[in-house]
Amino acid sequence: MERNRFLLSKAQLLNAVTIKNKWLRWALVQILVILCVGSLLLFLYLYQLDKKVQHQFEGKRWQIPSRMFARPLELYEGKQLDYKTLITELDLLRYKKSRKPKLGSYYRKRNSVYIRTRAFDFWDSSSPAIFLEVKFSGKQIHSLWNVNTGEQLDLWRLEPLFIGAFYPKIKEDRILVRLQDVPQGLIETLLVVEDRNFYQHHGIAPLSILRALFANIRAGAKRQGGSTLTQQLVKNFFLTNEKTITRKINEAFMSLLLEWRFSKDEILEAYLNEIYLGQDGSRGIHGFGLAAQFYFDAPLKSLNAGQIALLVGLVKGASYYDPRRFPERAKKRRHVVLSVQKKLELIDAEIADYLDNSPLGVTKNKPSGVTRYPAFVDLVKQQLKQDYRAEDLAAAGLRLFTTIDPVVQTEAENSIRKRLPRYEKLKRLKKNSLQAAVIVTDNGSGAVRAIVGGRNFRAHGYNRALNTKRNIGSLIKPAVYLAALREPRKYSLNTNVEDSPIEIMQENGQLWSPRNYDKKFHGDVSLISALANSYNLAAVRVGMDLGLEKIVDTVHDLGINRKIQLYPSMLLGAVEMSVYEVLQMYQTLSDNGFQSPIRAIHTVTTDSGEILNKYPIKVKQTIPAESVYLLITALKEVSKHGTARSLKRRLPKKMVVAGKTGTTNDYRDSWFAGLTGDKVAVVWVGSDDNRSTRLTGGSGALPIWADIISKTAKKSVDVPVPERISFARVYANLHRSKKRLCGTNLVLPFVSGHMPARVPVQGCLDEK
Amino acid sequence: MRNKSLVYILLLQFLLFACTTTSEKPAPIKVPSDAKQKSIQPDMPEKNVIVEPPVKRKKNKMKPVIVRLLHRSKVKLKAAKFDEAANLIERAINISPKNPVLWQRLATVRLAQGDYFQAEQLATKSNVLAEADMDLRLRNWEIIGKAKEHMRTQR
Repeated sequence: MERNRFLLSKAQLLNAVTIKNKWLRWALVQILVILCVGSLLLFLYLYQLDKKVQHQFEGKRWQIPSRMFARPLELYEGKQLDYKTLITELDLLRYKKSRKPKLGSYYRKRNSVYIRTRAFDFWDSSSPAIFLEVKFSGKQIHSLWNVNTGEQLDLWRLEPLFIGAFYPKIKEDRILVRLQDVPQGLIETLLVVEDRNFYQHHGIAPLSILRALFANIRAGAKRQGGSTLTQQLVKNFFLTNEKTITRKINEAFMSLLLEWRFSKDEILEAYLNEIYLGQDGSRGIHGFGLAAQFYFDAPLKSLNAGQIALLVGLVKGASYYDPRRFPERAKKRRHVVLSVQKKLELIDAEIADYLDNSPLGVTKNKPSGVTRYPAFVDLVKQQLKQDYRAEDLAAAGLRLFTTIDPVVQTEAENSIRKRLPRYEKLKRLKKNSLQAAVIVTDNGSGAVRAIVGGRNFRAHGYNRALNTKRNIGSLIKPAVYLAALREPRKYSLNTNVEDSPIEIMQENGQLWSPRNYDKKFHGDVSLISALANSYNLAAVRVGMDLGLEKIVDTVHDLGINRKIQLYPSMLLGAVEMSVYEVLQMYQTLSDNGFQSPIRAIHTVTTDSGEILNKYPIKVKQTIPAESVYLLITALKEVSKHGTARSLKRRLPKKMVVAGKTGTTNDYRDSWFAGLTGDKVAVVWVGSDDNRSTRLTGGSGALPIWADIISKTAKKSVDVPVPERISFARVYANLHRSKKRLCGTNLVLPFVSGHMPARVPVQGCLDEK
Repeated sequence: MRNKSLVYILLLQFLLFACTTTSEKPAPIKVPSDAKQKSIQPDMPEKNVIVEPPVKRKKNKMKPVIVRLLHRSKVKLKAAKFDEAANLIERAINISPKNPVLWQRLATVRLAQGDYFQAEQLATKSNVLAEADMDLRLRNWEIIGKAKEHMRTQR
């Protein structure tokens, strides 16, 4: 019985234990499950974060920039060059005016300029440093000599101007610095002010967080950050500026991961290149290298302790302590940093005091970005993207030889700087409301010599020359008449076209009845006259006669690759195009109907000189040369007797040009597109909000075009006569004389086999 | 006295005559001024309508630097160094973009390189610039012919 009782108690015990176990077991199992799932989730979360860290961090590590160069100035016997222009180029290249035998110097003596050139490795050969004499005869190079050897040279290239660098994978401008290139003083100061235990902690410093927490609680407000450099880097890199707990947790984990994956030095280097230190419009200033240039216009290694103190101080709040907007705050913050430096004996007390009392030293004007010609560089990058994948570009240190001509660029900028304020005053427009865009290329090769994307030349921003698409108005008319002239059976230069009222039923059921600018009807006018005077009704009639498809075909043949809607209003330029596109059209016209793509890059080589890609000259004939010849003849009339006749007093006396004015409805856009024997240029003037400027093509864009061309173009339009062109003396009404259209006997070109049979007498017609 | 005034009158007439005519063919025929020219008859024009081109284009002598560059490119071409030859010609084109000889030489290089489409286009461009230079035009037609032949056989 005892045994049973014992057994029973044992059993009872077991029972009790089992039940307890059951609950315990159940609880234990639950905890285990939660732990497992939790660990899994945590693992996944960390894995994701880790991937993010790797991806972001790897992609932005130290890269060597690609360097861009302008076109080299070619010197040769017979070149039309003013010695002043040569000196301008030398000054741009930072050659010093000096007689001392120093590389990179020049001096003038009588008719010659003596230059001690610097050596340079071009894409196709290396030019050694020589002592060069450039002898002038008037505004022409008479001869070139190697002074040391006495040898006469027939050709010499000056080194090209360095125009900027960029990191192909990074969208913004940077000046990346290597850790070893950063002044020791900067690193020391940074660590001491922001993260003293940087080299000891593992990413987060719990003690400093606690310290900061206490300090904040005591102060009743957020005073200290408690973030390590690693945490700040994470903040900069990945996350937006929220201040939530989740954010803080993410940040903490990412910092730990970063520390686990990368060395202290790597993290520090990334920090020095990523930390936000200011704002320039839409461009963020990241990294000490760029900040040194942005605030002091100097390289990082040349900064003094005071400047370093200012920059380090900006880490705490670049906008709040902006030295240009809030100089007092900046000075106080600099004082704090200088005190720390003084206390820790990083700098002498005397120096610290001296610096404390000296001005901030920040340049008044924000210097240009990393490149002096951001609008041009936009096109360079665009063309690179078309031909290269990002991975190829990331190859270290490419050398890009571009086509920009700093002299032409300067003339374009000077003209816009001068004219726009004048226009605003004249037309009583709001100050700075007008904008302009210009592209200038070389006639024969399509090489871009200048691009202006807006009146703020040095700013990185919206590039109107490439991206603003506006109605081109009368600039379409040459395409309309070119399409007509491609059918010599129907149209020649002296063919009469009717400038009379016309009504067209559009697809939407509405009637369109266009008018001329002067609201008059001019009756029968010769084609050449209709184009020269930009008569709307004549253009519409010709266009409708040919059919809209034919006009669009011609526009495509001129180099526009987009689809264009077939609306009749297209005949009067209700087609939106950018300056870039208009230029492509006129480029084809300037090249006898041969399309050659506009290019900003000439050659790309690797750092060691191996040619990666050349952009060779390529041509494709898309329009018969004789049709283009006829059209250019008509365009010459625009500036002789037509809407651009004011060019005569703006250009050198004997210069002959071919161009077209364009004015859109309500004077919203002012255009001029034209060519000489050596240059093609398109100018647009308007306002960003599409408001009326009260400027016509002739009063807005044309004077700017004339300014640029008169200073940079040297040859008149000189089109070779195609095989199938013959000349005849005919009658064509060309100019107005006291409310009558008067014609004159003219010699005009015709496509052979389509010559006029009879020649009427000269005289005047009354306007209807 | 009378002789003198006669001389003056004759001189005046001569001057007037000289001013109203040019060195070209005689004055045009008078026709009604409302003659429309909406479509031109494709028949043979009357002899006195066709005239010489108004401005004779200057035939510039080749600059010595161009001659040198052409020579150097020829050497490279013979040595089958096509890219170098092309570089030199492009440099020359940069200086004299309207010189038809340069475009022809570039066409020759492209032909040798097997870029037949460009060879044809460049030779065509050279032809446009060549105007009446028959030798040049003949050589261009040769290049165009060869290029077309190659393109035909490639298909």
